[in-house]
Amino acid sequence: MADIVFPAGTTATLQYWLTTDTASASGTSVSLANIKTITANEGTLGFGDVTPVATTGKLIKRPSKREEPGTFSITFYLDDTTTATNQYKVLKDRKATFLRNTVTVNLPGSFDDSTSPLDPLVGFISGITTPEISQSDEGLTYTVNFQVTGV
Amino acid sequence: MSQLGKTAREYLLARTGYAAALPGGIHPDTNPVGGSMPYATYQQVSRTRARDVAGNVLATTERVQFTVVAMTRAAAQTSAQWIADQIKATPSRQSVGSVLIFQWQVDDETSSAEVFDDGSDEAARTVDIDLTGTYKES
Repeated sequence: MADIVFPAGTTATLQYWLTTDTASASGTSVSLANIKTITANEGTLGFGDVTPVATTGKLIKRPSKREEPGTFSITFYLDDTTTATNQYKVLKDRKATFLRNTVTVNLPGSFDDSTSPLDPLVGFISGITTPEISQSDEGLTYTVNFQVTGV
Repeated sequence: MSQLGKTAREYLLARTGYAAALPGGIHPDTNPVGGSMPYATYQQVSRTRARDVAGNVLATTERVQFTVVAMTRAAAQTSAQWIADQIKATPSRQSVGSVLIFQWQVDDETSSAEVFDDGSDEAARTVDIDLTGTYKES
């Protein structure tokens, strides 16, 4: 049995697509820094009822063959205080200009292969939070939400 | 050795009023024999590290206890308060030597008539204050 893989050693890159509807990712790939959390993405298949409304009992369903690509988010520690050029500003600008992105997560161990990542995610930044501020010993973080579009 | 304690010592040494508040100095763990009073020692209580998913240490949070020893309760209290006031004066992001302090504050304070904790009454009085801070290790 293979060893269990732990996330320590995980890195992620984000490749910017240069124009809104270009056919392929042609922008520069940059490493995403200070990642605290990457949430799971779930592409879900839609299902429809195939049982008539008047029928009682078990409702038979059938896959619609359409898939909702889902959403995911990345939470970053806010480390760089250079507000004019830091990662927060760069990602915020990418959201504002509606540019498509490919996020590639490189897992450690046998997954640590940037040429065949487990699941590259293509989509748009749908939201970016400002840091939540409270009296605590926790570092400031911000969260970037991605809407996966599949292509 | 407490990194935060060492950094706080470096910070306090450069502050106005240090010589008057702590003529016996600030020392790691124990005071040299024959030193002046009031003096302070510091001991690490705990240290935890925050990492990103890659495993890089982004910040270290440490709790360090400063013990101020003086001949009277009032003198120990005054010197401990001086330390607390200096920390409070610059509580947020700053560089001290090669260490980047993100934040620090004085949390707990306790007083004792015991220096050696042997149950006997002693002339010296102590005040303990806990400094909690987060910093980036160089």
